[in-house]
Amino acid sequence: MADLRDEFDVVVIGSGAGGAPIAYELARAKRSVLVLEKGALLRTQDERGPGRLSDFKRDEMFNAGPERIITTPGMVNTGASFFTSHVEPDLNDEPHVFTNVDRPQDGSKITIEGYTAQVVGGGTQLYGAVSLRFAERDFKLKTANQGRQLKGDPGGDALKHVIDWPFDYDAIEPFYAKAEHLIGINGTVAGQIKKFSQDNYQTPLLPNPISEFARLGMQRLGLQTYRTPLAVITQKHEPSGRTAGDPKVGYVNRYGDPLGYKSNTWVSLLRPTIRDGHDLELRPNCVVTHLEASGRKISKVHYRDPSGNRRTVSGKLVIVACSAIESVRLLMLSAEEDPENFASLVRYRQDGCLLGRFFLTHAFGGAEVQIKGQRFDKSISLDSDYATDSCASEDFLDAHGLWAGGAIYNNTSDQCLPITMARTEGDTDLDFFWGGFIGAQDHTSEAALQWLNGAFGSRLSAAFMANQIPRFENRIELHPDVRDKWNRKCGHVIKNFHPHDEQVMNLFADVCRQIMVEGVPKYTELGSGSVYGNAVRIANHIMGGARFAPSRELGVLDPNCRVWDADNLYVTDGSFMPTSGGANPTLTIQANAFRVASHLLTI
Amino acid sequence: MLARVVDKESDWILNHCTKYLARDNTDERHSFFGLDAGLPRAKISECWRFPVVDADDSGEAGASEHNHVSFVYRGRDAVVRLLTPCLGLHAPADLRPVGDSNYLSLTLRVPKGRRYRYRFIVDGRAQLDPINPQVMDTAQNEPWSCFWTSSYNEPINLERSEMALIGRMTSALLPFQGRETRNLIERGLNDGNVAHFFRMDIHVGVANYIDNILAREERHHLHSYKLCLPMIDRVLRRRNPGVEPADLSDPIYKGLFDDMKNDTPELARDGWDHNAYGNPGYFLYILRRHTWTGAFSHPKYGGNPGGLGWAFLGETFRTSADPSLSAFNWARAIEPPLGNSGEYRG
Ligand SMILES: Cc1cc2nc3c(=O)[nH]c(=O)nc-3n(C[C@H](O)[C@H](O)[C@H](O)COP(=O)(O)OP(=O)(O)OC[C@H]3O[C@@H](n4cnc5c(N)ncnc54)[C@H](O)[C@@H]3O)c2cc1C
Repeated sequence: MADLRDEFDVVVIGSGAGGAPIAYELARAKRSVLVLEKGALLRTQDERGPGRLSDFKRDEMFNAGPERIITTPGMVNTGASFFTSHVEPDLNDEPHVFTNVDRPQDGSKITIEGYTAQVVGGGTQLYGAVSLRFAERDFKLKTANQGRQLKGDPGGDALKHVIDWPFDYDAIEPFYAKAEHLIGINGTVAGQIKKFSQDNYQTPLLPNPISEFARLGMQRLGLQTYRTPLAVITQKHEPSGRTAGDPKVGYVNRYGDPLGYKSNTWVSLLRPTIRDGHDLELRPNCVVTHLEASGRKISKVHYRDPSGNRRTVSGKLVIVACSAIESVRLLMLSAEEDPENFASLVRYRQDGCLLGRFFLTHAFGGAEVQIKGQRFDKSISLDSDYATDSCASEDFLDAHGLWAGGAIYNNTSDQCLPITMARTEGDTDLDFFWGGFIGAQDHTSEAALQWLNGAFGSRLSAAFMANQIPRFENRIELHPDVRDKWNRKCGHVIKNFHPHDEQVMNLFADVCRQIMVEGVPKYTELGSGSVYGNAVRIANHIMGGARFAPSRELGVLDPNCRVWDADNLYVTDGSFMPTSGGANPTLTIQANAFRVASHLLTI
Repeated sequence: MLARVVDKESDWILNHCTKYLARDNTDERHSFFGLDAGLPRAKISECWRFPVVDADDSGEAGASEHNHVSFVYRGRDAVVRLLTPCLGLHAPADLRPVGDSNYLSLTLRVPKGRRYRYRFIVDGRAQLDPINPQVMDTAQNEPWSCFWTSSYNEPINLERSEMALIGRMTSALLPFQGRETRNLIERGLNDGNVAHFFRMDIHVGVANYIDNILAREERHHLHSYKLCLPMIDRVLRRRNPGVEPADLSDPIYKGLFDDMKNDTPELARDGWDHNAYGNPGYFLYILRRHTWTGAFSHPKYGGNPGGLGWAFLGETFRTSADPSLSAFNWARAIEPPLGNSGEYRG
């Protein structure tokens, strides 16, 4: 590899939602860009050539994975099983440790929660593609709550660490529109409470008939609905040169798409930029181990090549976008490599250090019914058909004494395939795969068929995604003992929910339950709930840990996502968020990355 | 020759190596239940993936009847050759450098449903593949590394009698065929629609799938099967003298499963040895999970032959709006000739 280029205008670390938009914009503006990506480059069918096959498969075992055993010593779940897909890390090689900040006596466990995917495209390869904008109020939650009384806030401290975003909805709106256009999203504007300057959505496909119950339930409760925006193309997509086909085959959520209809950042942003001949180089299977600084500048990016050999490269700008936990970890590991200089740039272990603090996920949960006497082919669906913003309105929040709202949408494709259905039976978190199935030891012989008969094609759920209260105590650290396969300290996720989160979640779960009660004529089972009380649960949404803020005292990053004390270091994955927003985060991560890119073009 | 050497892109090989093989740490993190203690492969992730058996993705005629099998050797300074009967034992083939990496590799195109032995000749000396855990002995008692391609259906580690017992148990766990299922359907399963699945012989597929994964992905459970199957056989024979376990009825198996689940005194009385295997319910769980995945995973894993498990679901469950329509149109998603997707080539 002696002749590899080692100097670029921009080095982007991580090819997912936060990294790819920067690479796209800067390469197209004639900058030389290198993307270093830890995971493999798995290609679609058409990329591999005529008649050839994709590296992704419509294969449940790709996503379900065989059983492996946790061998990290001293954990609560040492010896337990884990199941991950082929693009998720091996938890014995790259563990994340989790500890409940309010119950350290429960011990620590290894968890897959909080990993997205390690592959070119990052989490956007596996995601459900639900691509909602945040509500206008989500950007100003400190201001919006001034003088308000919240319910279920016994310590009166729910709002203590809430800050506004350094800009408002209007400032990010053009970048939402840009992301929607370039990524390729289908949905409807009508029915959303957010302002749109342009409607860049493709036309949604016909909804799965089972979703009509959810729509009806929302309507009967007076909730305004729209077709859930999904990052899946339904028509020719000019910006990325993709043509549409039949994506409705149940292999979207938790799957990489062999045909490239799902708008992950590889097929929508990186691949077309390379095809168009811009100076964008992608190095897959290369993991960045640490950054080196000289003075206020990042002078070198250290990484391992696909064989594990040490390499370095330098960039005038360095963009960290490894997903929230891994980005924070990378900055901390770099600080430990250079406790003098680099550490001082990120104020690691110094007074007022906020790196790793205010780690966020979402308040989420929902309701599920088993419809009586009706069955649908749920395998012919995308992730969701209908959504509502009505629970993000001022009236709703005032009526219930909540600090912030959220979105509700029905899940259409959940449990549509037989193996997934069994392994997610009664699931409580991603570490619990097959756990409900283990417990259901009665499901043998006829009872197994009866269970299938009741559940197959007749389960419907509504889910909510709402803001989680930012807590100073919720944080990412380096674990002192547990090391990865490069002998680097692992990420340690230390968190729990705030009591007001329970208030939010109970209320939203109840709305979801009512949607089911109102919409479904007859059902045999109805359950609702939330992740409150299960602190490890993350919904694959990881945010915060390096939040941006208007001042150096309040955040790790400046409003343009630059590390305050470093001249050329930016962090653009979900870790910049000071509040988690009342919707799935990816579109906002992408929109913000386009915003940061437009700033970078001015310097 | 049955196999031939094909070119495979370097980045494709690296995509299948880096995550598993590249590392500094040398702890034995991947030796579940101490299975590979002391062996180099205990230090790497998912050694069972090697050699990499994947689709023949060339798009050539007959590709769906073949696999690409990629052999990988870590280290680039040695001269490494592959010796295998499918290339001809007189014609060892050189492993080639993979780009500038530290790996050598060679990819063969091999028919599906085959099992072959091989050795690496490293700087002139024959040795087993240090990564791949699969080993078979020749008639002369010589150990060789081995691999098998998709849909291989000869027993690998399990005896035929063990396969038969697993087959019977799995068909009782998921009774796709048989009188009980028929009764159930007549009593209203499937909302009164009579299904057409009595052609199913799914248990053969599931036992084969289980034998496959016990040799590869879930090798750490082979020991459990080897311990528990004889005890189950003993319990059933003691309970039903003179009848072969394979000939016993579903309700008898249901009783066995309940006893395993509840770990009843009767189970111990009839021959379950708790010193050998303490938690019969746990074995039942493994068997249920394996049954489920075997019945409904892609046929290339050795079960669900011809998509019969999927067809069972598709034929049994019909949409309520239109009973002529399946509530599981799996063929729409899956590649021909198994399914009928017009776009996807699996
Ligand atoms: C199953 C699933 C379903 C989801 N569904 C939705 C949904 O419907 N809607 C939604 O909005 N969000 C969803 N998400 C979440 C979504 O994937 C994330 O919000 C999004 O991908 C985060 O963007 P990111 O840039 O922070 O990280 P990512 O997109 O994950 O990108 C990070 C990249 O950095 C790479 N990387 C990490 N460390 C290093 C290193 N040291 N060196 C080099 N590269 C590195 C990783 O391999 C990865 O490719 C889902 C996620 C999953 C897993």
